[in-house]
Amino acid sequence: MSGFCIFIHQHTALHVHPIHIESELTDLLRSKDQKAYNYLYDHYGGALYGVIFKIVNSETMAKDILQEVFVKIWKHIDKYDATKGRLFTWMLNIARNAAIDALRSKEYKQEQRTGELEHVVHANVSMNIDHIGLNKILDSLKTEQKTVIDMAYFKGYTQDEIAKALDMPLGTVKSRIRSALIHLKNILQ
Amino acid sequence: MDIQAYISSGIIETYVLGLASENEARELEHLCTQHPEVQAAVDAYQQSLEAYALLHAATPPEGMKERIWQSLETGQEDAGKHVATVAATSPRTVLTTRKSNLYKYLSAASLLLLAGSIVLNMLLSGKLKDRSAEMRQLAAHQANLEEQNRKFQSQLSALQQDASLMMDPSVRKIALSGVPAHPDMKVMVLWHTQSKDVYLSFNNLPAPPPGKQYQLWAIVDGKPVDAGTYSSDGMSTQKMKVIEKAEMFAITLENMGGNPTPTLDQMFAAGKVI
Repeated sequence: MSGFCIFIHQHTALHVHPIHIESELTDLLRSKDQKAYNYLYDHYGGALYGVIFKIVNSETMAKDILQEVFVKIWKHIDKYDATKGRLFTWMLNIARNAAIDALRSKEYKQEQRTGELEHVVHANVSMNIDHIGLNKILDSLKTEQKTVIDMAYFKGYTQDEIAKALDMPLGTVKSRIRSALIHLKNILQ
Repeated sequence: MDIQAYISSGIIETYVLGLASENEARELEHLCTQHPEVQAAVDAYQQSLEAYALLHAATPPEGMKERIWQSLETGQEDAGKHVATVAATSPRTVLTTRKSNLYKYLSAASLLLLAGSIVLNMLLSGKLKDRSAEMRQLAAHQANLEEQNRKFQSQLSALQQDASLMMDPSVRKIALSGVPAHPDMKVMVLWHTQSKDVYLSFNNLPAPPPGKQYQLWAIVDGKPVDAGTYSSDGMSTQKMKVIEKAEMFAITLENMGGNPTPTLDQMFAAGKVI
């Protein structure tokens, strides 16, 4: 519970004073004026940047990808379909996909060239935690649960790939993902 | 279609993580429009993943807000600019025939400059790559240390808790020894004489097979009474149910969630209260 409070405190703008609910924000974004951009950047920029950075773990790459993500959101906001999911989830998925794609093409190039750096990059992505609220909440997630969630959410691994990487049956991976998400739901909401 | 079974099948978790196949996703999106409870389950998971993502939020570097806005603003103009430069370059070819000598020297000089700059670029980018590889290694090393530190801290506080229980004179210690099939099993039950709280502590606990869990039983007047299931990692002491009186404690391996009665051939350890 204490983790939850810290988390609210750090993201006051988004959770305690939602100036725009998602449907209003969607309309605002479709107007494509600077006011809409400012709102979008001020309220979602940090979240999107954080996710991107967590995935690529490089400021230079994260900056470029953040820009690419905003351009995509800006261009494709007309295609966003509220019946298929929440706006923030949609934006997060754009950010995750862009970052995972960038990381994979970078890793691919590095493998071509040296083949050595790959494990460093992998080791890197798994852990980069620096604030208290996060630690408290993550501590309550079992390591095994956190591993599967992070592999799926931050690395874009399929369940089959996770099963192979961790050398465990697919059924175990599925049940771990399920229990991890249920646990997250219980502690974060 | 049994919607409750569908919801608990794991497909929604797969979907919100972006791991569902196209067909699965299409079916789920269709079901969302038919069944509000499916939609609600999807929303709840999406919100918890949003919250999880928010936990990683970080302030973007200085100047990004302006840089991105500029690229959004010029996004439209870029296409136009491209056409304009193409149009502007084409008439220039007519001029080149007239001043061809000068252009030859100029282009030779610019090729030389270009070659020089490429060499320099390669040198510098090689150095940069070394540096960033070093940086990444250091960052990974630091993350490992932080992770270890966190692990030690939680182990330490668990040990401190165990120690204070062990030292408490009003806590009775009951050693359960392994049955002949599991001679190495060492289990300690700690029983508070006033509060009647029961704690279970393992040493070298073999990990239970998937779907199984250890369960503690208090034997009261010859009958087994459920004293709770053990869900910790095998290294730490866990508080179990309150037991008013018991002659004996025993451990069995049961299905996840525990059983109302013990499976006797799955008995691992037992010990009398002396």
